[in-house]
Amino acid sequence: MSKPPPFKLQAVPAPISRFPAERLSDAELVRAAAAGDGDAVGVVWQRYAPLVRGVLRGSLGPDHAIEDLLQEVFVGFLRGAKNIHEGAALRGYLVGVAVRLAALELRRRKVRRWVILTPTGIVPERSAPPADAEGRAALDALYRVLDGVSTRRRLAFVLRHVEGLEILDVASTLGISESTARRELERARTYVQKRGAREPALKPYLAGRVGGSA
Amino acid sequence: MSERDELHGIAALLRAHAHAGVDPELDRVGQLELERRLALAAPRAVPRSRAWLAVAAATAAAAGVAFFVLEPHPISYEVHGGRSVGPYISAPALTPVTVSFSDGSSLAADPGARLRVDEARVAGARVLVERGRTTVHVEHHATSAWDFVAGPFDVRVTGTRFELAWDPTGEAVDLKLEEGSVEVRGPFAEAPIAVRAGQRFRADLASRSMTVIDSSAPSAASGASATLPSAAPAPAPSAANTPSPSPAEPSEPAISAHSEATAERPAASAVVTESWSALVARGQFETVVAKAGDRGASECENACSAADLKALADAARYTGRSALAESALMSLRRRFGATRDGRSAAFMLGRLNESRGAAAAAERWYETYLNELPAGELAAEALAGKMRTVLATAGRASAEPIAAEYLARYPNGVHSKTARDILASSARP
Repeated sequence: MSKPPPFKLQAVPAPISRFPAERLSDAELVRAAAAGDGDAVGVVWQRYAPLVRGVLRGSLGPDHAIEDLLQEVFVGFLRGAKNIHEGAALRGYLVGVAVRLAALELRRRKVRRWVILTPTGIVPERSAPPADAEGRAALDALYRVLDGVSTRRRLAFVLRHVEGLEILDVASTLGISESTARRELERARTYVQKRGAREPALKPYLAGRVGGSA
Repeated sequence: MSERDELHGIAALLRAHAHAGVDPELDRVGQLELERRLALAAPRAVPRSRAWLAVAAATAAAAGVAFFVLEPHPISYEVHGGRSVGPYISAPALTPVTVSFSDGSSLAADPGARLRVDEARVAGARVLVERGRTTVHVEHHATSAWDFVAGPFDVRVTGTRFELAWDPTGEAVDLKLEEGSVEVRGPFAEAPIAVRAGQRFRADLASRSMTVIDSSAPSAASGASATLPSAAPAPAPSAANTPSPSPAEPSEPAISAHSEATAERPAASAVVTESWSALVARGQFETVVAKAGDRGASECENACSAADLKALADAARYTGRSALAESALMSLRRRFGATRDGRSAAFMLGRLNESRGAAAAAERWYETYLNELPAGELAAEALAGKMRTVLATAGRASAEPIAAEYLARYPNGVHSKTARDILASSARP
């Protein structure tokens, strides 16, 4: 190794290393994001975008607007970060915003159906559709069934069965009582079971032949 | 079988859809868009005392609803020759697709290309070029406002004709401007980069490089190239480990004092002059070099502001004048060493030396940067540079601890594969 050229380096005060944003707690991230810290916002995205995207996808089914709505959730977080007093509840906050936006989107779809902008109010999703035709048909059938239940009931079903939330958390996210959440879930299950039985593509799933081990 | 058991398959189907993997590129674009919005939102905070303005604006907006029919509507478009699902447009594998907008603008996407008209506006649109090459013709109007997004790069247009391609696999963008001018915003430049007719802009996320060249130039390595912040120009044929200019850089201009020019220069108070940083942002690199020449080399080194020295170093690097770039960076270090610009100059000196093949000198500068700004925004690149240069000068065994440090600090970093390769080959008997 040849000798490097001499450098006259100035004496500088020992720099203080910044704590990596990815190791910050949710509460610390919220505070940093509220102060406009781009790194913190990036970490919040990496930590929670998959969860929020899952809530939106589960609630809405195949829809080209998922990524736009995901942006809306996080832009809402940017705007509201200063007002989040309990930073540790960030997960619940984001899920709550996603659920509210999903509810709005479901209502918009109903309006679209009423004015017949598209026959179903749904535009096929471009990202990550099931590779197999049967899976795609089953998914389409399932969301046709879910289109028949009220928005609140549908969201309760998704939060419980897709996100695995406890009844109390489902109630809290939807802003309803625990008993109402139980009742909505029960009605959603009954409807999905009965109406789903009429969809040929869903029969293997209802009989537990597909996906039973999941 | 209980009801809960019967719904188990249904729930699994829903979960599989909800949590199916997402295209990492799509996710990254989302994150970058969010960070862009954060950056845009910061200076726009509205003081509470102006809350009445918001109320007034809301009232005005409500009144505006009454005039809905008079409002201008967003432009519309038609897709010819391809598939369109909502805003998503895909060209067939063998034939192109054209999109005609109601304002006279048009897009022609090559076979296999993917586009998304993300937002239709009154005087333009926001179009995502998700894959492949698209030829764009934007009709110029007084209020035209078009954005074309390719990966993390945002091309802003008022009226022009150009080709834009995005390769999501190689994470590379290629913009070739035929008419007009555009601004490109991207992750590696603080300010927008101006690209003019006859120029070509290329960027590569993997190597974190951005290059502006003349379209007529045979390659990016030609003398017409202007390599933007973090790009490494082609090394000089000589691999000399010295920081002096290589013979491959004969076009170094002499920066000499021109007394006549100085005498004829109008008084500063009489004219509004554009800052050198702004000129660099607009791609006027030669102008900056000429202005520095007008002032005289030593005069600028001793009297230019930190911003001007940084702009001069950038302009010199972009136009391949590495000795001038080094001189400006060394001056930045000497006079503003305790500032962020001064410390970042150490990194740029590392890059400059590495591109010349002066690996040992480059290593020293990367080390200097890491000592001064261990968590600086260029720390990951500096550590990777140190890893590369130590590998080149001292061999694999010496590079191994640096590779391990890189992986510990940036496990998903751009250079993590290189680091893993170093460690893997060291582990082999």
